[in-house]
Amino acid sequence: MPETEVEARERVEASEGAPRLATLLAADVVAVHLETEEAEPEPDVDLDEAAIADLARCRFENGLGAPGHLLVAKLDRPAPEALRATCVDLRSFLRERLAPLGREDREAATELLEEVAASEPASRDAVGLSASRALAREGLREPHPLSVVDRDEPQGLHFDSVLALSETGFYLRGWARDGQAEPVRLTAISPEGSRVELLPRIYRDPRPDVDSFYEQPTRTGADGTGFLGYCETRAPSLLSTGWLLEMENALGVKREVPGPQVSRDLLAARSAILSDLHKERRWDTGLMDHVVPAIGLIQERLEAAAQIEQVRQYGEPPEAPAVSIVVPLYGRIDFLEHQLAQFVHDPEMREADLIYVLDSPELAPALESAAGQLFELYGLPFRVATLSQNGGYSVANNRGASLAQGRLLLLLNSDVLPDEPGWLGTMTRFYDDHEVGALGPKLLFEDDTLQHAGIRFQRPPDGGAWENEHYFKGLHRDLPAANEIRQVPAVSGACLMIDRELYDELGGLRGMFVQGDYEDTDLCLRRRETWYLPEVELYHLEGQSYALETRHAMSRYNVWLHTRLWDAEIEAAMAEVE
Amino acid sequence: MIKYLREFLLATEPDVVHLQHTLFFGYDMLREIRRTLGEDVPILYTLHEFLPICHRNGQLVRTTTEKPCREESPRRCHECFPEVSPQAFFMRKRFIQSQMSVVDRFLAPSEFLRDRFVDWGLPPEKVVSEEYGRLPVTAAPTRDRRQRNRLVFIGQLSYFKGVNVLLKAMKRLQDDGVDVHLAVYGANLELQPDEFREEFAALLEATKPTVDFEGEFNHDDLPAIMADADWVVVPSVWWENSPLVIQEAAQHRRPVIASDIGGMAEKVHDGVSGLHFKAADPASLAETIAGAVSSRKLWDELQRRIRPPYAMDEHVRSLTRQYKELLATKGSDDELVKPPAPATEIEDVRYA
Repeated sequence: MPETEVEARERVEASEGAPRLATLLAADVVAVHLETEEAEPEPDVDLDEAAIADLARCRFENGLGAPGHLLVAKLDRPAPEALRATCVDLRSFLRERLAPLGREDREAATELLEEVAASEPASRDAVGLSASRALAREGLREPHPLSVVDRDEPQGLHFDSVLALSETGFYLRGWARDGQAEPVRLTAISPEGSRVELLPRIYRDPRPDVDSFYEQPTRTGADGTGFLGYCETRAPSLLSTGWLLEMENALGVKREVPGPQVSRDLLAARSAILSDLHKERRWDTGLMDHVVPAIGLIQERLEAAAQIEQVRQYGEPPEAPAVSIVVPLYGRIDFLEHQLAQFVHDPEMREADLIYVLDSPELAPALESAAGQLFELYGLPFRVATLSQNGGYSVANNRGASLAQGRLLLLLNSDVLPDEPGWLGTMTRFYDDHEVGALGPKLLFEDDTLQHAGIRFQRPPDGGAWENEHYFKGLHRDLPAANEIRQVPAVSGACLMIDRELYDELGGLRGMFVQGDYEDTDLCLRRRETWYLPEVELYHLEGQSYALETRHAMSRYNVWLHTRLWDAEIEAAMAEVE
Repeated sequence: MIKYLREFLLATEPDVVHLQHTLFFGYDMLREIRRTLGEDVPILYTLHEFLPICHRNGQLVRTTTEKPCREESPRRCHECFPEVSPQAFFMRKRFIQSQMSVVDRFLAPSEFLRDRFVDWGLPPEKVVSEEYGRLPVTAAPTRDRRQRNRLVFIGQLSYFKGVNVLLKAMKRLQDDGVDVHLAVYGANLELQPDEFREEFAALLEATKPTVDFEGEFNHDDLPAIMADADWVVVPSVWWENSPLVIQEAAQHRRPVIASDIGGMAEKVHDGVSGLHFKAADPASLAETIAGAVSSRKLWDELQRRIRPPYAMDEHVRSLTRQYKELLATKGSDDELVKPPAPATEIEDVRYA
């Protein structure tokens, strides 16, 4: 039976003056306050069957009586009834034992709770712990005067957005200005009380809109008034409201403002963060230091969420296939039939392990009903793996590759159609007869001009980012220079053959790139043994799956990330071929 | 749909499959037939129009200029249909060709159509010319008159059939005081775009009484219509395949004045069995008509040289021979058991 308020008050009163008071911070986390001369007192709680998995402590010099000790014990199971019976509610606990402490001690107590939330093993009641920490933060913190946005107020502070990328990774945006003295501290505080110091490395961003509002020169130094960037809290932050922003200037003047509601939509966060790159002109400056880890985290989480949900086999799979062909399907499933209608002419395709990976789970019902009929009509065996969530190009390929039976892997886009039968065997023989990392064929546009004859890298003369350039793009398919077998810096992932073990060894395509761009050259650069085989010709009817605008926003990021990863290697690779 | 087709095929067990089109089924019906019946059953496909080549209902007339199109390509098709990407046109073509690859023989009613399909990518050895056969009819009596100045237009009242080109020519002739008369027979005016209908109506109004608009007609009335005409005009602004009206004119021994393009130019020999004019050019047509009606001797000459059209019996014999030929190449021992239905029972084909 839950305790009534009167009973609770009685219990608190009864414990007044007693050396010990306990409260539950989470179902399996208990905090005990002791006043004792002992140096390292034990929590002295009735554990019954439970055991303490982790114990954190801090000590407060009281000056008058015995020193106070705050002990926080994480149990290996929810607190037993006997223990709970001796606990008071958190508010009372804070009021009685912690709130009266000095500022530094209160800060130490808040930090102790953060340490407990951050340490392993994690509490199984993370939500409860978060709520308790938030309550403790409010009970223990030293509030500063609220900042008011007013032309006559020298301090101006605004917290625009908090994008939660994980439990500890956040992308923050806002602005801070001080017309009185230089700000020396800018701190974002999570609802749970984790403090993140922004000034050392947050990206400062010009905010002409803010500057023009204040009309007078600010004293924020050479940097912009705005700030944005990625940061991490020491302990998980789960709550949606309660972020704070604090500022302190060189004269010790402090202000604070409440933050906005936290946004947890990863795809929206990704677009927002990528669009911030428009503020930046170069790949090697500060903003990318924030965007890269932020996007990396988003990509990792999207990748983890996109698991194979189902694999369906249509027809009898080939015995001991040499090649597994992995074809991601994204946005459109009609390409499946277009490919089958070409593959059906080619006896070699019956020997291949053909794997379609549906990266648009919403199309699964449509694909399921189509695939059966298509198999009946074309009689070519294939598999369809459906991902539980959209994961992007690299994930779809990697998931498909994880199913592969062949010793060779052929990554193939769904909008690639062979010109003539026999192409797969030609590629396989070349791959087997040569020392090759990745192998790419000639790819054609629908008008018989060259779409791809290998990839090289080019950078603008000012040392900007390296961009992928397809050799001889737009020239006629019979161009003699495009008909030489040769080593190239990279080949397109639209049709790329690679040894399956090598692919696995390299870790497959890397998901850090956003949506189907630069993963292929990244893969090639990790091996540097890439060949172009012009006698194999396929059509690549590119650019039908993605809207152009979306591509544009992503490509700037991909280009810059690619250069950050490979600047020196590309330089060397280009020196080799030119 | 495909499921019912399969059931039908299995129940019928045909020796030969001869298709006239795949409309409403989709091109993949070809593959379904092959899949269901196996490799030993010959599949023939008579190409009546250019639907596989041209997204504009097979019209082969550019949407941009309304001029006949000589060459398809993803880029050119995309110019005609900006909302369809060149890549989509490329895929469409490859897809249709993939399905058509299961066909053993294509029959082309005109050389022009055959050439177009070979240019488009059908293997030349698979495409055989085979004109439409005609059931025998008694030729309509020739009008006993001094002047050969009565013209007839028989066909759809649509832009592509060029009826307005003809009316514009008639207007010129009327203005020039040429003694000539035209009867226009045709239907489906109500299906045409407003712009075309308005122009047609205005031209009719302007050419009274030189032109009489007779509207829809019953096919049984054809001998009577022919009996009242000296010349048949086929002024289409698109290529045509093998227009039936040219064969009908030949059966009734009427010389044809035809556009100098495509199937019309092929089936009507200029100065031999008829006259050509520059397609879509009313001035050229007016000049040709003026020349035609001014000389009775010319008409007699042309009429004398009209060759009777390909007979249905011959057509059926040719088809039977081809079926047997294909069955032989398939290595099947089965002889064709039943001959095809007798020629007289074959239904006549309507005007397209």
